[in-house]
Amino acid sequence: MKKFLLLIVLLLVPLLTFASDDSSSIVLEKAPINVHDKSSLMRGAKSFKTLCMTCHALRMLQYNSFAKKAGITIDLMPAKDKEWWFAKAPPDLSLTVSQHGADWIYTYLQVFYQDPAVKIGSNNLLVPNSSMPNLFLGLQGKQELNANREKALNEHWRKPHYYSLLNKTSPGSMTNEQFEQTVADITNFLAYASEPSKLQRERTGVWVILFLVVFLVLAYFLKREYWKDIE
Amino acid sequence: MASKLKVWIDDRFPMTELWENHVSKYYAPKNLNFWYLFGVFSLLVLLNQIITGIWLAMYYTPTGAEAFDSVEQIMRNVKYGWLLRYMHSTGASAFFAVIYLHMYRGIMYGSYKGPRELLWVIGMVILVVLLIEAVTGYVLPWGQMSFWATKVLISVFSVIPFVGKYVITWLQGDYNVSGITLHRFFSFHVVLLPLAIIALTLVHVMALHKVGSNNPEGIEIKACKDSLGRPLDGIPFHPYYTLKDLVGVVIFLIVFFLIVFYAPTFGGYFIEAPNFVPANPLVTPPVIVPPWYLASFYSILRAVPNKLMGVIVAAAAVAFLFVLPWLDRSPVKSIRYRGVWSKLGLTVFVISFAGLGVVGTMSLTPLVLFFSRFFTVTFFMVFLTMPFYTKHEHCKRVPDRVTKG
Amino acid sequence: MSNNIDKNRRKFLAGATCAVGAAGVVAGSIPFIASMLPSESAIAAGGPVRVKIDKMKPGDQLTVIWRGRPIWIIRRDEKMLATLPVLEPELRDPKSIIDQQPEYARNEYRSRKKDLLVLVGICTHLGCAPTYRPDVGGVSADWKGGFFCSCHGSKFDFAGRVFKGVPAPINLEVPPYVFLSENEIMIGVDKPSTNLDV
Repeated sequence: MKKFLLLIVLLLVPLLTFASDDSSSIVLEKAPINVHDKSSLMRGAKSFKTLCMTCHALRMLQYNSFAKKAGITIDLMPAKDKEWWFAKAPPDLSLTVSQHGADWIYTYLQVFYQDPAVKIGSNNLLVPNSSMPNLFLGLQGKQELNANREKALNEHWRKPHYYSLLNKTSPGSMTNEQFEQTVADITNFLAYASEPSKLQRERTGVWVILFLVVFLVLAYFLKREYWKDIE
Repeated sequence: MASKLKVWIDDRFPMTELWENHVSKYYAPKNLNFWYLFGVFSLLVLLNQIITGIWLAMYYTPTGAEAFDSVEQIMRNVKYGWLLRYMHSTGASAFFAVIYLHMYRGIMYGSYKGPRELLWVIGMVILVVLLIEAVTGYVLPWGQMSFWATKVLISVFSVIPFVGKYVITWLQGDYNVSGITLHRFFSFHVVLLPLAIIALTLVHVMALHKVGSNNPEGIEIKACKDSLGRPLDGIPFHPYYTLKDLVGVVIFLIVFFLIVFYAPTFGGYFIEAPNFVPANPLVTPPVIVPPWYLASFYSILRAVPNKLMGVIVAAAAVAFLFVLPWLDRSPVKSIRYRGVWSKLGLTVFVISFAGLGVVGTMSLTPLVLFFSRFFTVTFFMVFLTMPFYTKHEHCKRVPDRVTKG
Repeated sequence: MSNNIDKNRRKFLAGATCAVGAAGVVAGSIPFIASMLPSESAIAAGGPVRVKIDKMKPGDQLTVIWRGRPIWIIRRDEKMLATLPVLEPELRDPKSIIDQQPEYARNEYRSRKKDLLVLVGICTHLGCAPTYRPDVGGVSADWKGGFFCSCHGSKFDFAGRVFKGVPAPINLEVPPYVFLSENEIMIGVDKPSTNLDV
């Protein structure tokens, strides 16, 4: 029995390594994800609708009742074959958190900065030189590259946080806390959008495991009763 | 009434005969431990894959254009579709975990030794067919990893001299891995290979029942029988092992469903993050790794600098496993009675196989390459030295009868 | 070897384990059975259909598809309506006793408003698509107008009621529908659906 449990533990060890390939240049800030927080999801959904849905679709949420409650419907999303004036079409974000991880999205939304060297005038620390404009300028305020960032970049043994590389040069309409909350809500909603069934999955799991534990007790006593025959 | 029906059926079909010969009067050693559960777990997982597979096939569309979306439709819009999908993906990994542990039991207790050599060989055939079944299944979600891992695996055939390129085109049905490849792999995955696995499993159990189970002591229980021909150290499979297996099965189901409900992607090992991106032949993901259950073999492939040699060496690893019953010259079956060399060999084998698996899921750095080569060498060393150390090592005397436990 | 086998304990434990196990099997089969019900996309595709009827002149027929079935919308005039009471002796179910229509269509016109007929265009015999035959004397000398199914000769009047002596057993089905306005109906629901997304 001890060996069996040891086996289970050994099989779970790989979980610690986590198969994700973190090739980003900056530390990914920890996203405060909680898909059980329905008010956060609703705020995030509404922010998504206002800020993101002109360019980004969520086609896989077409029949999702929560999304519809937030006013996110298929007719308001950009059409699948829409022509974009920039080279790369804005991706559908239905699975973005499954693809990149919540921390990546949470960080991505906070690391836009003004960059006069680029045609569109703004850039992003995680995805440099893309055609996505800085939609958060008004809310977050103006961020620019820190003139003293060399020191943070040259520490090879650890990645820099984005705030060591960027300076806030003028405030936006939101305070830092308000903006972080907005971004957290959007990330939370996108986490929900990647897997809407998660809530039902966790609820159903409780009953299944509970049943199996009860059944295990019965099965064990039945087995023990018959094995009394064997010395 | 029921007994009359029983007689009527028995006159026309060996129903009671089969039940008695294979279950209620089939004698198994009384000392089987938890390592002997993995056979029945394999059957359970096979059943799971078939049933959830049939249900998934009701909604899955095997075309390049619709495959990815059909899987997301199942996850989001089909009632309990997420459950069907996660049971199937967890089942795929569970199948290999269970089969590798099942094989480990066989190696540890010498269950491949005579008269069970054929049983072991049939099992190895099932393993190879299962690996192909997994590869054809992995392509079906048509994510980035599905596409690129399949492309890499098919490119292995390019090592065949002269006709390699044509074999690849023939296998793909197209000039590149495409929706056509996907569609035919669907046919292999859903029809051809499951039929083969079911047939092979039946043959495997028939071979087992002919010779009877081995046991942790490596004692042949059929050597000591009572006046009625029943092995003295044997007990009827039903009710003793049906009930013991039931307990084991429930514990297995608890672990299985804990994963299904609370960690279905298993940290990215059961469902990889890049596979949430639809397949794109023009964009290669930064890291292409095979699923964990193929990692050991992939490691060996990668360790060898020459492509053809890599394929030959990886094939040799599987080939050595096939002929294990003949490499092992020990007079003793179970590790419990073997000498220190066999114990060392078994330890090195496990560490090598596991080590190869761990580095096989990592991107190729110099350190990863070193360990791939190191473990490949140690892996082969176990097999190459086995005929010598098993013949000459000092073993303990194996008792005639199974004592308590 | 212990010889004291408590048969009752064994029977109880075996019975309890079987009972709980059976309950588990039943509960476990629920997701499999439920998954075969229409998915969200199938439900959405089978949603109600809106039809504009403002351009329909008397005698016009409009055909739309709802849940994969043809739905006929006929604008009836007074001449067509006048044939309905006359034909009653020749019909199998003139009073629409058999449940082939919503409550609001169980009347002499088999419709909410007498000038508009809504029917499922599938013959109740073996499922062919009958033809709209408003032409008097077209199908037979005494043909007053209605629907004729050329597969096996079934005949229905201008309210979709089946004639005696034809293979079809019952009247044509009236689907649920509702007037959203004077000029628009919604087929598939009895009341206007709040879920009006396209």
